[in-house]
Amino acid sequence: MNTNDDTTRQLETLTEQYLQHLEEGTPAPSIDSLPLALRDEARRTFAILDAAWKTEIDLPAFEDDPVAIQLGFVQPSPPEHMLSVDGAAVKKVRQRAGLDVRQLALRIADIGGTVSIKDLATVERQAVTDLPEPTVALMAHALGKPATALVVDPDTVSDFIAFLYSPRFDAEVASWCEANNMDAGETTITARQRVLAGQRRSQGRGNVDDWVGLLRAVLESLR
Amino acid sequence: MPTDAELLARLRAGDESAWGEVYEAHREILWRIARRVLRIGADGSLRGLSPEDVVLETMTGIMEKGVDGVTNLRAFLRTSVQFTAVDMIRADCTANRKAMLLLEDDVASAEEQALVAVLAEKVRECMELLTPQEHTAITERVLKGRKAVDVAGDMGISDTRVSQLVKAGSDRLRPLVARELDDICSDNEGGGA
Repeated sequence: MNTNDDTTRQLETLTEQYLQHLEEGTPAPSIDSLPLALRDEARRTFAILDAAWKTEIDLPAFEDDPVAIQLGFVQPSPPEHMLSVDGAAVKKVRQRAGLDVRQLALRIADIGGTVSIKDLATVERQAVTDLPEPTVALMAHALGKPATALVVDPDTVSDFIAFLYSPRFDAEVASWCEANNMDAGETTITARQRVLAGQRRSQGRGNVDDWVGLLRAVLESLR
Repeated sequence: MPTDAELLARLRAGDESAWGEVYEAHREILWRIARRVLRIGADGSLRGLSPEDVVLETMTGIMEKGVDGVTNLRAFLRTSVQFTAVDMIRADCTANRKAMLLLEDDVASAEEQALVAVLAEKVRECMELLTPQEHTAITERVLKGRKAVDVAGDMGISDTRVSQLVKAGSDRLRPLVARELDDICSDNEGGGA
């Protein structure tokens, strides 16, 4: 082991100690034990680490960027359509399906949703809970029923959500997956999320033919 | 995605729609510098100000003034957001009737952070010159601030090797960001870490 190796190792240790200082707030390592000629190198390395530390930022999508919205570069997403869910109806449908709340939560997760056991139990306990329409549609899909079966006023369920969880949607995906040798389960989940996002951007406009066209475009993008 | 030169040409020709593309292409740098100057994170943001306020003010300012004479769009945006952030901190301190001494401290701190933010951006620009392993180690360990043990696990190497890669990458970056380091380190000459 020569002196250069020792010095390199010493600088590596100091570098890691400086990162721990940034990470945990421990005192910065002293560079006093270094030869004078290396102190400036260490000081400059620390300055780089300090400047770059945790500068990775997680910005929202451009469509949701608050500055882009305020400057009119993008249109704000329309407010999410909420549905009033009938707690007793959810419980009844779930029990008839032979599921407990945990199993329902797992089924929802399997089709790409995230509704916690606690939230499901809360919904069932309350007479009426307002939930985003896609969440209600996921719950209904997991229970094998249309969303209209779970809500206080079935007329409030949009045609688009009905399409998103309809046999027509599933058949389109299954047919495309068969032709392209793709897994239908995963593709359905991804396609549903992207079609939903695409429809939000178009602010809820369109009819079944438009939505099928959007679905086919989404599927092609997954190829 | 159009180049900066194309965007500048469109703006000079009066194509206002190019502003959205300018912002989309460069918003990360604007937000990063705004956050750094406001010291979001370790020291918390300055009262009454947010990075969003700074980025919005920066964009509205440059959209009003235009880009005549601008040759390097990225550098122009970087400088604009630095100055805007410092000006807003000064105005915020004044509005809150801070004592002159505190005001100067705040502004000096913000100006110092602006220099650090410039160094951070320069480091990012030079990252492409690192080896793939150095790039990954610095990105994960430093830019994202992940624990060494987690980075080592993901890379299939030891913690020690991660430290070696960070050190080696820093060695490679140091001469490339020498000018920005001079601006920061000249104030600290003679002191320990």
